[in-house]
Amino acid sequence: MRKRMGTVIGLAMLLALAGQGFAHEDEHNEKMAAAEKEADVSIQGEIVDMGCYLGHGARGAEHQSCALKCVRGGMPMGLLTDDGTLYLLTMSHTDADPFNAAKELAAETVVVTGPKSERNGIQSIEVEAVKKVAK
Amino acid sequence: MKLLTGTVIGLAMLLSFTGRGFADEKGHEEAAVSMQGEIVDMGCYLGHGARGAEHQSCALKCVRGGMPMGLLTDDGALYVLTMSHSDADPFNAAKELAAEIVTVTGPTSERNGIRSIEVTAVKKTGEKSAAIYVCPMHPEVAQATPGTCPKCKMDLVAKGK
Repeated sequence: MRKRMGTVIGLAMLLALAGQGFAHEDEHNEKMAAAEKEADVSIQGEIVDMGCYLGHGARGAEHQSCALKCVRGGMPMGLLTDDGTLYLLTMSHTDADPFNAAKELAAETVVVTGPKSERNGIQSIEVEAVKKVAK
Repeated sequence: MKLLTGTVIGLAMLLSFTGRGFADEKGHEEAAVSMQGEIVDMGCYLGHGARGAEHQSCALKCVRGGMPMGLLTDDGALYVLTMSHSDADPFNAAKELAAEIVTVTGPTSERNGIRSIEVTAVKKTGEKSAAIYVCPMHPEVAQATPGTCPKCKMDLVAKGK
């Protein structure tokens, strides 16, 4: 009986230690991800459809109807700031609504809020909020 | 008669200039290229470097849901994939090849530091690679093959193998 109790306690301790290991690994992964992502920013600029803007510089009011059609159809969006910085807009895993709302603001001047990232020369903002502002 | 001839010549010159104007606008695009690399979902790749076989199910879900896609080449160049106005099918086909090694064909463009390929054709051409090589000091430097960091010259280390 004592031997069986010992085995049960031993197994319980082993499981507890393994659990702690996994928890530690998860925490480490979360920290790594957080380290590579910057804090939330709010950046003002024009939402451009990346196909037309990168391809032939099309943007602004005169291109709005095409931009709306493009981004509604799945074309990637960018945020072009006054100083010429171009961010790729990405969707949040937890809430796609702000990203989808941004599509309806193609060619408008907006403020996009969300975490900023940079890798292989491309900067991006994960859209957590978007709001139309006056030019 | 002279007036008519003059009008015709004038119109011809006008049409010629207009044509040149359109040609210049298109001139920002380069000729079509075929480029091999891995299709990455840009949200996860730019956000936390996620890519490769172990991230495929998430990548598929993301790009099907409308996340932008990129093509990450062996030398670490990253292109935004864009849709052709005349045919969206190849772009949509690329979504089903997220995290696969493919060859993408189409015109490349570059503006404000971002490069893109307009997807006119896409074909799976290689095996999935699980590893990515990153700089220990500069996590933004990442590529599919071993090498050194262009910023600090340190050897890149394999991650996610």
